[in-house]
Amino acid sequence: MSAVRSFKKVLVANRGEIAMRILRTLKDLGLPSAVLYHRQEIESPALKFADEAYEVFGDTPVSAYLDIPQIVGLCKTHGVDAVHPGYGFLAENAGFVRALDEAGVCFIGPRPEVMNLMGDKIGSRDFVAERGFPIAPSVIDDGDEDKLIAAIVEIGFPVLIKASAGGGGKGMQIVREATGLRDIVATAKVEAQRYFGDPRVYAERYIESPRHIEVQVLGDEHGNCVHLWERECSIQRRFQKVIEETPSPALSPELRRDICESAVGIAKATNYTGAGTIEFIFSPNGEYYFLEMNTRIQVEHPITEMVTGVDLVAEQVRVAMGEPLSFKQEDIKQVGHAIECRICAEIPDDDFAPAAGNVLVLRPPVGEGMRFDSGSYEGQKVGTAFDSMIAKLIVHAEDRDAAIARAGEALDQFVLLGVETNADYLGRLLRHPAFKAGETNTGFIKEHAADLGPSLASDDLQAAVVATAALSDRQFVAMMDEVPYPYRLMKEWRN
Amino acid sequence: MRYTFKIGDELVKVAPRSLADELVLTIGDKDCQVEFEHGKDDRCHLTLDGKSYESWVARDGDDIYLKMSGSYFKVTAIDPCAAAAGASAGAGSISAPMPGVVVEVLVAEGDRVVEGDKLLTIESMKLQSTVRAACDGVVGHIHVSAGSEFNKDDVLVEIESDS
Amino acid sequence: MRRIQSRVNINSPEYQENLKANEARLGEFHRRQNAARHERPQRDLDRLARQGKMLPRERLEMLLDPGTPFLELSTLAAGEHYDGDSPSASCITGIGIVAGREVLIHANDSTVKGGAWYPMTIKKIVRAMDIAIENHLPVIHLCDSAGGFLPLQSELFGDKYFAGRIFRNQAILSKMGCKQLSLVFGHCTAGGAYVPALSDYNVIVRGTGAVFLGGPPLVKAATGEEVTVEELGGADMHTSVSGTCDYPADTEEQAIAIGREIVAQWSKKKKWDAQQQAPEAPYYDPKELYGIIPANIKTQFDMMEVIARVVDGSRFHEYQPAYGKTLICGFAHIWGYKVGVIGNNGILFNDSSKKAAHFIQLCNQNKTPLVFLQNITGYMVGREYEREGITKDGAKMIMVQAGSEVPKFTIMTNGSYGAGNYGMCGRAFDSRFLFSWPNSEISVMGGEQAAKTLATIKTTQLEREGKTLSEEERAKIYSDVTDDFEHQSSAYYTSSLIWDDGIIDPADTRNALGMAIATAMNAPIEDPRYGVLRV
Repeated sequence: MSAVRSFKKVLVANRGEIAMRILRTLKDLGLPSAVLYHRQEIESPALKFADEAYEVFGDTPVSAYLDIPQIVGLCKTHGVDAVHPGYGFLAENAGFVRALDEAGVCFIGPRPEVMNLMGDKIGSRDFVAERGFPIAPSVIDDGDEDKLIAAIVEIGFPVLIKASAGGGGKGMQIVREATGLRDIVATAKVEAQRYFGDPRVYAERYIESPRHIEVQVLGDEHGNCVHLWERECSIQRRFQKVIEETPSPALSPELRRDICESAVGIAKATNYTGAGTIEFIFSPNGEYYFLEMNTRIQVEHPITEMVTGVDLVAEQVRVAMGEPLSFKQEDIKQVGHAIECRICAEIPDDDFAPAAGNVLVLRPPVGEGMRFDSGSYEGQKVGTAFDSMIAKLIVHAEDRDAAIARAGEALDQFVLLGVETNADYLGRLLRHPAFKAGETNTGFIKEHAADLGPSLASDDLQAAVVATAALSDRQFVAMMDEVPYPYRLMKEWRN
Repeated sequence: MRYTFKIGDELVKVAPRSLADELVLTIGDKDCQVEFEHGKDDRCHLTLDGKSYESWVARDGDDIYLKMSGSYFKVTAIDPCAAAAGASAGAGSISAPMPGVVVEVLVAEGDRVVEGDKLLTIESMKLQSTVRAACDGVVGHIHVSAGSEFNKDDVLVEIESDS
Repeated sequence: MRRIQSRVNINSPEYQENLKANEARLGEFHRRQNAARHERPQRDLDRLARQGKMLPRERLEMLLDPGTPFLELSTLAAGEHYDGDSPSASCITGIGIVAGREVLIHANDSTVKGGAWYPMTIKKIVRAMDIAIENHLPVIHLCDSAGGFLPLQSELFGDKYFAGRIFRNQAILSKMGCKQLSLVFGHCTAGGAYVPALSDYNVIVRGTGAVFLGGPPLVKAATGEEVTVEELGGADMHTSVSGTCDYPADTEEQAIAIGREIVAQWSKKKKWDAQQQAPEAPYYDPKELYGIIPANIKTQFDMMEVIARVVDGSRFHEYQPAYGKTLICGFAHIWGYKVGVIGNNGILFNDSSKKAAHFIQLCNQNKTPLVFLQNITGYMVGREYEREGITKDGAKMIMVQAGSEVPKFTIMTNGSYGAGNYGMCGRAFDSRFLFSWPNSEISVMGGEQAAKTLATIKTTQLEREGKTLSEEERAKIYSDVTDDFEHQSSAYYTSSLIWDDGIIDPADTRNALGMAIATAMNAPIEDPRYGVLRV
């Protein structure tokens, strides 16, 4: 051990599955642990799993987990000297890191300056572009229309034109050829003026049917930085990932090396410490562009752990303690194929509307190459207070086909009753021929919506479902049980 | 009376036809011979017309959640009495149940209220009670203010009902 | 208990002849029953549909627990009266299972003259409520009636067993602790208003249900006041202002659902702890009765063959098998209930009468219900028998039978004539339930014999008035009298008069008796005591 610091007590400033995940590693490392909880989660298994648990208060449950002074105060009161933020909440909040610094508490994650730099969408793009890494070609209107048109033509088609003052949505359009470009730009400028009071427009290469590919990186305080290969997270709905896998079926070994080395290059340029993810947009013709960097542990980190055998949370803790990375780039092998399915309380067939309910039955899948990360428990009330993700089902097998099959088996084994989830929908995704063929892109769910709808239960199955429901319904059963002898033997006799 | 169960958007009526040695259920318009066993750990075994179905079942009030043949289902038992339980308590205007005095008005005209929301605190016979909205809607004219005295059946508040 | 050895040969010409005759009879029976239940003028059905009302039988089916039986009573009541204008006497009565409880159901039939009460309607309702009183049953009234049928008011209003008896019976039932529920689907006017008012619970349907002593036209005539049905007796008024009704419902279906939930609140009274065993279907097919019941009513048949097709497992323990053999007595089970069976196998003689009296006492001592299977032309007449005391012995049988504390059930299997009807527990002797087979006949004496007597009287009278009658005229008088007599002694006529609780298909006898016995066990059985026996 060459730790610069040692931790006496590590607080997980999070909840749910990621709290459980981090606590497990802290246990493995022999570190005393603590976790936060809100009153609503008094029965969460994390409370029992951690050595200590501190209640946080807030107007809403979420606001409690975002209350920096309260959390820093708890650290001081309870002698916490390191905080793992998990993902979400305060994981990418530089103000939190500084407040912890002031209190003498170590934040397990990157330094706030890096967080600020990479957390800024425009700033990070410029930073990356300046260092020669690929970003999608774009141009900002400076008033000179001829220059703008020429620049757009240079970007190449299709191109996305939108108001530079606006976000997405209004006034956004995709242009596929140079013909009529001038008129389109003119109209866009009028609209931009009308909607946003600023006539300037912005144009960017539009990538059709792109894939989302990201690279896991790890850096230490000693200047070491490695990648742990890529993850493909193209299966998304409402910009939220649903299924992630590694390796990506889209990458050739050369492209893979290329994209991963780019990621390490970017991370190194920021002197990155800890675990981070560089996200790329990957076009069907093999181009990739930097999208953004996430300066935290990702929801989908387990698939990387499955194929590399590295405990990413443990590495985060070690790096935070000041240890150098325990391995070199060439030590990290990508073995087999891993897939993660996010199980969410939602109704896919109702446009992914969130579902609420009580977790009545929860049976994780058990088997070789199966991992189930969850903070859920039987009796849990699932509402809209927190994110809709209930659990992550992760599988690992020798190749992609085997992993898809295993994911199917795991979904079959998995049981969660009491809240509607996307479990069936995940099964339909996994079975879809295009997914099986690795033909994925971020529009996959929309594109294949027609095939991904609920498969109609056969009449027999529906009858079996209704019969089982009726015979499990208290009132229905009571009605049958109440019928006395000998009448119940006479059936529906009529004279 | 046949019981109604909702599965997806479909309403299916179910009733036993025979409770004798063999159980026969009418499901929709089909008679099915049924054997059913509630096993351990929320697992159920059903034989329907000779075919076997294993399932996991959990019940939450009127909602029955199942996983059967690899798929999830939510079935809701429809309570045939439910809609009748609440008498159509003269939605529209809310009148005084007894003579008394207004302690506090808790809503303003134009406020949106849902059934059960508190509207007024009143006092009669040394007892304070709350007058609540009998339906969802928007508060119309409020006939009283704090300190107003009223008689039995005086209209206190009007609610413009949504329905 | 040994199984009865049937001697019926289903291939015999006699069996086949009977089968043919009885199938024709059954066809006629089912035709009449179906007409009484379902055949209504289209305009009446349209009117109900317009009002958004269910048919009375749809309400009934919805009210009952699914998968359970319903024993309908007196379906053919009033069938031979009022020119058929009041099918089933404009109401449905019967025993069924609601929320797991045995209840007596009385439903107005609004498809007939708005559910107006004919005299026979009242007789049928009163009888149904007497059944509730005798057997301690709760009652559910499905109310939708225009009130008494005014053109016949003199036949339904003021007498002891007329309309007032319905309300008297309601009050008595309530006093006994037998619950009553009314579901008000339509108007309950005048006397009809007391049906829900005298019920422990009632539910009223918004829009169609109304309860008032006088409807708007009557109020206008009486006081000049103009008032709407809703204001006068609608669901919201009665459930929120007057308290005459308890639960409002938005639809008939909801009213029925609420009604079922109300019944589910009622305590389940412990029944009489009768001697019981697991039921067993008869070994011999009850449908073979169609080949046993004779084509000609005068033909004798073996009642043992009937018993074999009614009782559990066709098993029978015969009492005094060698004595008084024209009357079969013995023990059996019906739907698991121990019963004493008394069936005619010929004329009642001194020995058979005494055997009956003795056996009835045994059953009372043992608290075993009695089932009478009537096929009786009467007690034996003649000097020798009078000298032996046939009248005295018959009186013994009548005395202990009438004085029985155990519930009695009577089936009219074929003929029932004269005092035999009394001894074998005819209608006057308070059998808890009495059912007739379609072939059966009741009259004060045998049909032919009676017709001859009547025809003779008639011709003598005409001749005394100075008329000379040709042979043809004589024959005409004879055949007219015979036809009338036959008609009036037929099961359809007597059932129309509600001399029974309904005509049943012989093959349904076991089920009808099973339900009747199970129902009767709601009332306790008292210790035996009798009047004075002329020994």
